[in-house]
Amino acid sequence: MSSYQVDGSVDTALAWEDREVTVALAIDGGTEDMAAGLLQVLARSFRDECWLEFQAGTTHPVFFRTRPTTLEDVADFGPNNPGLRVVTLQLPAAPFARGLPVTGTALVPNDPTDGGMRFTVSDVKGDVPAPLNMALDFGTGSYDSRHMIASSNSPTFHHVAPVLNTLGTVDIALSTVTDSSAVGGTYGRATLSGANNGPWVDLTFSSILPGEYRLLVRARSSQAGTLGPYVPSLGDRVSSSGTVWRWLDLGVYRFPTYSPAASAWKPATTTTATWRGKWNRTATGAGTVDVDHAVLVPAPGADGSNGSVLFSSSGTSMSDLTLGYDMAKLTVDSEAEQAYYATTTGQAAAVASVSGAGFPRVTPSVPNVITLGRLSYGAVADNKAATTAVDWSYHPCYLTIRGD
Amino acid sequence: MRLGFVLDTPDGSEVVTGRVSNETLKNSSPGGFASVEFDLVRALDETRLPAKARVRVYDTATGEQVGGGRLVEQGLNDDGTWKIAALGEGIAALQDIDEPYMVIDTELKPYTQPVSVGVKMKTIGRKQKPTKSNTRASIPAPRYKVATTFVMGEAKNGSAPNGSDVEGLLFQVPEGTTVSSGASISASFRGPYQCGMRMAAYGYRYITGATSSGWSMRADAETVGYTSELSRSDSWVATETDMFWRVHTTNFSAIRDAIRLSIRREGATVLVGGNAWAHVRGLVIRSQLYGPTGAIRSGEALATTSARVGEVFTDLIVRRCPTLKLGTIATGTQAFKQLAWYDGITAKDVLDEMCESDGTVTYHAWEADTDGRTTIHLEPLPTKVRYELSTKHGFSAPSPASDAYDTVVVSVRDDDGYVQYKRVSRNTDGNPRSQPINLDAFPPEGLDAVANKFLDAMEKTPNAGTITVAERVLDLWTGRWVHPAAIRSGHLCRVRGVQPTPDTLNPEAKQDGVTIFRIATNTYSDGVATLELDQPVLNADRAIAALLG
Repeated sequence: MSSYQVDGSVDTALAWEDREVTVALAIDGGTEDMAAGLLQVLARSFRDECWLEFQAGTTHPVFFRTRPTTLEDVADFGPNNPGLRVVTLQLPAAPFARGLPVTGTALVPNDPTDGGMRFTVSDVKGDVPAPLNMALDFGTGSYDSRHMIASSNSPTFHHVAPVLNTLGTVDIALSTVTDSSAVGGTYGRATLSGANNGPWVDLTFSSILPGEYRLLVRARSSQAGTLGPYVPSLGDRVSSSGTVWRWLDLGVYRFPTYSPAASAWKPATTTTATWRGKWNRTATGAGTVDVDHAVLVPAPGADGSNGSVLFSSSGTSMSDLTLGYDMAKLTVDSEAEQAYYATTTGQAAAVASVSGAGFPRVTPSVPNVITLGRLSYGAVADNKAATTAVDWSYHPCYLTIRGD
Repeated sequence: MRLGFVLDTPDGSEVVTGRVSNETLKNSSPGGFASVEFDLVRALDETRLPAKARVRVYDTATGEQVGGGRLVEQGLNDDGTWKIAALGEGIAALQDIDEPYMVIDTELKPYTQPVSVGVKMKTIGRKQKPTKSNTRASIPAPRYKVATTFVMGEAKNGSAPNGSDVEGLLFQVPEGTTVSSGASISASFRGPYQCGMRMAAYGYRYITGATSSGWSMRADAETVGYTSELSRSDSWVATETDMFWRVHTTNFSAIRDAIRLSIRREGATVLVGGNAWAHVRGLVIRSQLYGPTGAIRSGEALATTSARVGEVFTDLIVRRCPTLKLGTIATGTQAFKQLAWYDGITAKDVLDEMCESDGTVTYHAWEADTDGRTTIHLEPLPTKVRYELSTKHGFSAPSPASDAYDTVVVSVRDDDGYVQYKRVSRNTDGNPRSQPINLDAFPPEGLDAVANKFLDAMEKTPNAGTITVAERVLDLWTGRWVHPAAIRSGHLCRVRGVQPTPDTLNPEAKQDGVTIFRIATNTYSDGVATLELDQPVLNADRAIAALLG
């Protein structure tokens, strides 16, 4: 017999419900008044939300965030046992118990070849992913006003120097230029003339885990233009304008394209992947296009690993070169899901305009890589020698009641 | 993976992901993002969210936006949460303005008044015979002509008195009228003025009763309530002229919003015979339209006898939708000869009507750009499949309520006034079922095309249905596995497990248990996306709405 149904059930959306903590207490108050007084203390403690610390002989405590509740069950033992009570508390609490905060720092260089643009958080404690709070300091003189923070469990970070290609067309000359402002010291230049509107950009990754990645390309051009995939798909074009180095966000791709999602029966193994893009400018005549470096930031979704991406922007008006306002500090409060900017001197806090809405999280017992992208809008070039100072912290989230 | 929700208000934006429950996201074609509904935990005593608040919904793993819109409802539920509903920015912005609008008017509905064009003269006084015996010379009584009546003339729709059936605007002075120099009969066309727009170009052909330079056929371009200017003045000719255009800025001032056609006696006073008439046909009035840069297009560019969807789309977005900006603009194939709604219409209704008639393009608005404005695209219907789906989580296709027909009779009155008639039959078993179609205007694609379009739709049960998607599916265009909420309406999908009825997307030769559908809407809630395929399914709610509406 055939049917349109599939065997077994499919979980489509899951969320953890509140847990219930049951505590049984015995009270020996001596007198009835003393017992009543102690019961009142208990009731008053739990009538509002509170943090309940629990440590049953383990080295570290955990904390439950309880919801308002009342005393469930009070047993007394009659006039012959004055002041004796047995109380049962049924405390609804948030699903995850929290542990003591774990903090750390990282100094992240802006140069991807130097181990930069990312830092790792290892040996994450807890049982479920925990929100990672961060305080970032981009340093004075940083006027980039848009930032990307991506967290993932993917252990690898891929980057490569693109190769420019003419594919035999005329009015375009390729060269390699040595320049200290370029990543790796050199960049590829295409000198355009006539109506040729741009080079092809080839990326070859020799050892990459199949999956979905966000492609960032560092480029600049003398005239406005767009860089997009050679076979265009919707929404994957970004324009670059201005003559200064900028990281272009080309969106998420699967490398290699169409590769099947990894599964328990077919674990992912490293492979090669290529990508070809095309630069398009609308102007004609003489012009140059410089393409420096490309970076793949993991954006997992299909392959079962965790990831999230957050874009925050302070708006160009808040980075004012004349007044010397540089939005050099960004606070990302992942617990409350808020982000806000401040200047180095601590003034003019601006609530960040957020998109992507994936605040960073760290997952226990797997590698955790946090990638920072400084994607500026402004007239100031991306500086590969800049560093970002990061202070991070998280409270581990436990399903069990043991702190580790 | 979680969906992230961001609320934008004029005071700033707020991430509300942790406080959202019971969310439903919808996108549709045409339209793009259609709606976002959710319950929001918020204190009851907080002030309502401002009217211009917006919502954006993201797939937090990839940062793509999967829903968004402009706040339209905020109510309070009895469990202390707020019920928030947002309407997609494209759909909302296209309905903001409901006012008269015109692009091209070829229907002759002038504003006319009868005017005195001349007089009928009569000779009075008696002839006198001299008497026989009278030696004194008699003074003959004078005889002179006097005007007896005023003759009224008015322009009216009709055919010319020369025996042809061609419809047009007839200006005629009755035979026997004495017309003084300077007398005229006029008709006014005020389409652009009625819509608050300006005239871009006009053109017409005319023919008159006799060739004469004593009469002129005039066109005056006017700004109603202000000034006017002479735009054209031609002598009368007895054979039909060619059509020629007058355009704004080059031939008349760019502030004109009406045209007055008239015949005028240029020569000396004359007693007219039976050929004092002029017949105007093929009148086309074009209104000024905005181009993609936001500037009014030149008169020369607009001097055409038809308009297509692309130029109307561009004008509507620039003129009526400040929160939208133009993305891709496809031209469209259908040539529309009459686009005027003097009683008021929204941009959405204009586009829906034109896209449906055209049949090759549709419009969508998805994410907002960094400047806060949402890009709206007019795109050709895709021809390449984008998503690979299967029926394993559920597929249903209830029977549509319409009957099937295999024969059709199309009739219409053509430009010359004759009734054209065409019968097309695809019946093969000797038991045909037929329907008539009576059209108001001759279709540009021809009667055969209209008949075949009807039969394509009505001959068999169409491919349509509802499919449930509960896991990531392959997106062939980007090579990625996309989340069900990220499936975009308007694209083609290939569904394995459904045998198709042969149609344009599923030709007779490819009957292989796989059907290609177009996704009409995607409604996502609780981890599951429900896609309506091909056309919205005729369920009970829609049937009732159709009966009532």
